[in-house]
Amino acid sequence: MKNKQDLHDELNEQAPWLNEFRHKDSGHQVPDGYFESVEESVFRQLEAIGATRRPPVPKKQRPSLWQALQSLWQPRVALAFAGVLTVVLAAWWFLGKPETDARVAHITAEDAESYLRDNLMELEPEQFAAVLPAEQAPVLLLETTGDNARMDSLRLSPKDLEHLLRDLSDEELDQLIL
Amino acid sequence: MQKTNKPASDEQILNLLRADGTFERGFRLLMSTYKERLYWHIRRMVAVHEDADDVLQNTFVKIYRGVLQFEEKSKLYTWLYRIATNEAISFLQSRNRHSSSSLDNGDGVLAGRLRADSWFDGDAVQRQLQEAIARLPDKQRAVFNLRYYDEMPYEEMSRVLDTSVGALKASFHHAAKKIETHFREADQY
Repeated sequence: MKNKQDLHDELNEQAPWLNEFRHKDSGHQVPDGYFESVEESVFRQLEAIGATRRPPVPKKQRPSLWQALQSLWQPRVALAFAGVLTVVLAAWWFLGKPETDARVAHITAEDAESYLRDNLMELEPEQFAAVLPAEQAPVLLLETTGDNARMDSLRLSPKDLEHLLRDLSDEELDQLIL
Repeated sequence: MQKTNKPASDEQILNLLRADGTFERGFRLLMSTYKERLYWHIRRMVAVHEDADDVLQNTFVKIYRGVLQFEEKSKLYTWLYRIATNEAISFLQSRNRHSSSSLDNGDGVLAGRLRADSWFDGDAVQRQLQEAIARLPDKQRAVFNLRYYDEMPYEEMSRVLDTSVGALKASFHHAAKKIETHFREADQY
């Protein structure tokens, strides 16, 4: 509707007399029944040129191996590739860990305790210390002397723990664990 | 084939064309939806019914072969008009190359053919207008017809003719002035 008005205004401005003929028939005629026969005429022509089968759907050409490799040299592609590789390696690393855990998952707490008890003398103090990360180092409660007896806590580093364990006798160590 | 009077949408047509086993139905629906509009556009370009019929058929053959490559970057009818316009202009250029200059008595070959067309029964004013339009250069005639008869917006026309909106407006303005001049001159004789 707006376009009709635009055209009307445009013609009024440029060639007002053309507006007068606009709704008039152009004078062109077609033979009776012409439009009803168009489809069949087109199909006859398609048949004559052997094109009546459904035209093939255009396929996108696959790039050659060399073209595919060349595209990897594009900085954006290389960056994306590096990013994906990092994610895959990280996933492999982290997902690899549960596998190790899975291998020991069937060992119960009782089994572990029994193992430690049987092999207590075989274990080195640093082996105890090494398995404990610094932030999980045991808090050793020290009894302070004096009238206002109180308990202070001291967080031990693995190194400190190693020294302490080394200084313990086998009996003391046995008592501590059991 | 649709029995209803409601025109098929482009989406319906394209879905049928693209689905397995319904391509021919889709193509028939496309033809029945657009044949008259395309015919009249072509007829105004080439003037004579027999030529318009040939060009329309060639247009539909081109559409048949290429419609599955239509990527919907424009409206379907824009794409169809583009093919029809190109086909009509190619036809006219080819005929002008092969026609003898003796057939052109100064009125223009197309205007001469229009006078000989048995499928034209307009009055004197209609004939004069059609002859004035027939004298326009091919592309300018397409611009004038698409705007004047099909009332196509310039933005749409720009996609059909691959020409800027500004150039199309200027072309339409010049075409209207030429037609006006033709009428004024004809009145003097």
